Amino acid sequence: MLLCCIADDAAGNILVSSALVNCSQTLPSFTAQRLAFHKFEREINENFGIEYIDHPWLKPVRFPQNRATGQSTIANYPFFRIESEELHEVGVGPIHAGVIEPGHFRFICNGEQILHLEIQLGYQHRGIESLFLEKKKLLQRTTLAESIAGDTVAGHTTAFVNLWETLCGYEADEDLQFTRTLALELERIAIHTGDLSAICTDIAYQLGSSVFGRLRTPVINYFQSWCGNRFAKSLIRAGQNHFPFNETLAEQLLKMLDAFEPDFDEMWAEFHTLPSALSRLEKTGVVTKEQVSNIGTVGMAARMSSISRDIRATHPHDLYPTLAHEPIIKHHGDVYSRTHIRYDEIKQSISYIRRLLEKIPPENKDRKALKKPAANAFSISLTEGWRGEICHCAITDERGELVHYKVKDTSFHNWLALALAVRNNEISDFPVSNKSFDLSYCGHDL
Amino acid sequence: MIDNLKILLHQGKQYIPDVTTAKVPDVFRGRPIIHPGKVDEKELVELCPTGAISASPLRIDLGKCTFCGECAFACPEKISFTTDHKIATNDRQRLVIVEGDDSHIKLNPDLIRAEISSYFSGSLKLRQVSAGGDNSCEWELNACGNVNFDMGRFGIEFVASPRHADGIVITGPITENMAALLQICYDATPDPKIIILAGTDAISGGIFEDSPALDRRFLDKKQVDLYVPGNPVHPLTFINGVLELIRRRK
Amino acid sequence: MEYQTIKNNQTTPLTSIPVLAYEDFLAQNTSLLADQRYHCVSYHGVPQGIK
Repeated sequence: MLLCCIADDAAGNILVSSALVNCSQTLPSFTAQRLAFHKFEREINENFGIEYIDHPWLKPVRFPQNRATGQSTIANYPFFRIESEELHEVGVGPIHAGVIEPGHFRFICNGEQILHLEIQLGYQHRGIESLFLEKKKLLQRTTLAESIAGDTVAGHTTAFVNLWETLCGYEADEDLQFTRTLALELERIAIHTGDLSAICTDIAYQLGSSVFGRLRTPVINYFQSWCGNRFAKSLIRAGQNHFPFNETLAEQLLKMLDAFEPDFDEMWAEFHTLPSALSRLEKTGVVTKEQVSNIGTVGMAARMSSISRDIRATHPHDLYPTLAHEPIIKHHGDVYSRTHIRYDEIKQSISYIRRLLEKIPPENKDRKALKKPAANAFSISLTEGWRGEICHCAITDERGELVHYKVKDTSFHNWLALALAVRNNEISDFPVSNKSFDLSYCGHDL
Repeated sequence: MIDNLKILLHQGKQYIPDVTTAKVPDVFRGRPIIHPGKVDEKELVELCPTGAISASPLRIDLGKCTFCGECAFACPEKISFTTDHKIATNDRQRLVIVEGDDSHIKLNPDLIRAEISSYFSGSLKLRQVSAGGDNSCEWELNACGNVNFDMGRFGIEFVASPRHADGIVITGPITENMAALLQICYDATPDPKIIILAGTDAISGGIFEDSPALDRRFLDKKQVDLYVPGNPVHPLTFINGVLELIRRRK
Repeated sequence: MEYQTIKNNQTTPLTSIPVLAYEDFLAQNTSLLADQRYHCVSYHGVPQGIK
């Protein structure tokens, strides 16, 4: 069965439809009509062996252990080639020079200029979707959700627990919703700040790199003093809260933010008026609005190019309806737009947190217990992680057991945007372009 | 220029003066203690998401533990987590905390190869390989070198090429798609070289332990020089563990 | 147009999701994307035996 979920961002609805097909069938593709479906159909082809008549390129997505064709391996994958005496290829990764996750980038260059970039992923594939079915305990599944992408713990775990609670017909108390909303915004501040540091590193701007880098520390240390983990692992649980928020924690948080903001603003003021920094960021790694809407990117990689796509505004969950979120939109689709979004979003998240702290919901000491998930049901949960939209879907059988679990990280849509961004750029600008997207390898490869 | 100086002035001193004595806040979950007393052991074994707890006597394997703390929430009088973050060791057995045991986790000097302190005590260059790591351990390993933790002051650094490295640090449960590449990277590192496993996923596979998408055979015949537990590893755990390893003379 | 309309974090019975002929399924979902207000959040296969 093929299952398609289309979000109606204007009405805040999700339109779900399905079709039954046979895996041996050859079908006309969605992609030929709308390029935004290309990745989904590549995944369907990879997992089920369904062939398409008119799909432009059924490039493997991640070489998962459950792929239809066992023979094709990541080692013998035939990369796209251009025969020419003028051009040369540059291979980067899978193991990168920095302390980051693996992925392979194959550049075809004309001198210093990138003509084409092909990205091959899959190295991080851990079989998470299958494990969601095999591991039967809720705590195991929550742990899995926390491990989908360790830099997006709040994003993925919130998606999972919201999904689980709706499957169980459970209405989360306000204090649980508070925890999730606060964690999502804190995670955004932490990672965005870390990314600003990394962007500075990639243009060899030492002061920005050190100062933004150290400014991330108090934010993640705050998570540690709240829940004992700098990445908010163990903070978010379905129908439970081991770390109730209170006035003392609120005071600590305000104190941290009060110290953070002036230093952060001062550093930003210096950084974003520095000609030598701006010259590396502006008009580098451009993705146009047209490209973005064609390939269907989400999150920051859509908002950088005039496309307002933000789950917090269009499909709000937890306490987002009370915040009436206004997405931050930039228009140039370049590294600078993606850098500037981060600054604006950090400031916005801080103001949201200050508003949230005005009314801390009391801990419900008499919480209802979770029931069993509904039988023969389908559920969907969307959250806006710091990168962008995250989608979890689940299907249960007649006993209410999970029989299907599907996770889509923001990066699933967005890697192609990076490949388009670097075309005609100098290869030396690749690192900063890459960092300005900061896409997830493990979230993509699952 | 003046603005730059102002920024520097406003940052003050950010580094932790002595990482060996640095403390972390109370709610941090470091080395657990299993207190004496009767408890339904089966319930605790059943509760643990990664099978880190086993019964009679009750024990917790920090190589499998995700430090979620659920066991301590369920039985606070039986299990508590201390803020002791110095939990790295080179002896796999020492990661298993047994009931009544409240001693610090130390390295086993008999297992430290002689060449480690003679070659690496003043300078250790490491190559990091993420083999299915979820990017939290990778962030923390990067944090080891930031201005707060400043691991570089001890001559410990991550380098870009295995050819420049004295050893490899593995994060993640080692996926099938990374297995061959990990081997290539290891082979490219000149001898003598060390292996460090950073994080629960790397040490045991963690929550992914029985996933068919893993291939952990790389570790079968290798001596692991340091196990650094954590989910993710705390920078202080990593730095202190490595310092213990390279500075201890046999 | 034939689809089940739900909200974020909503559970719906499997039987409420219409099963279309592939041609109609294709036409419906690709034509929706002509309007900027729609985007695809998930499109995937569910193995046989489920439903």
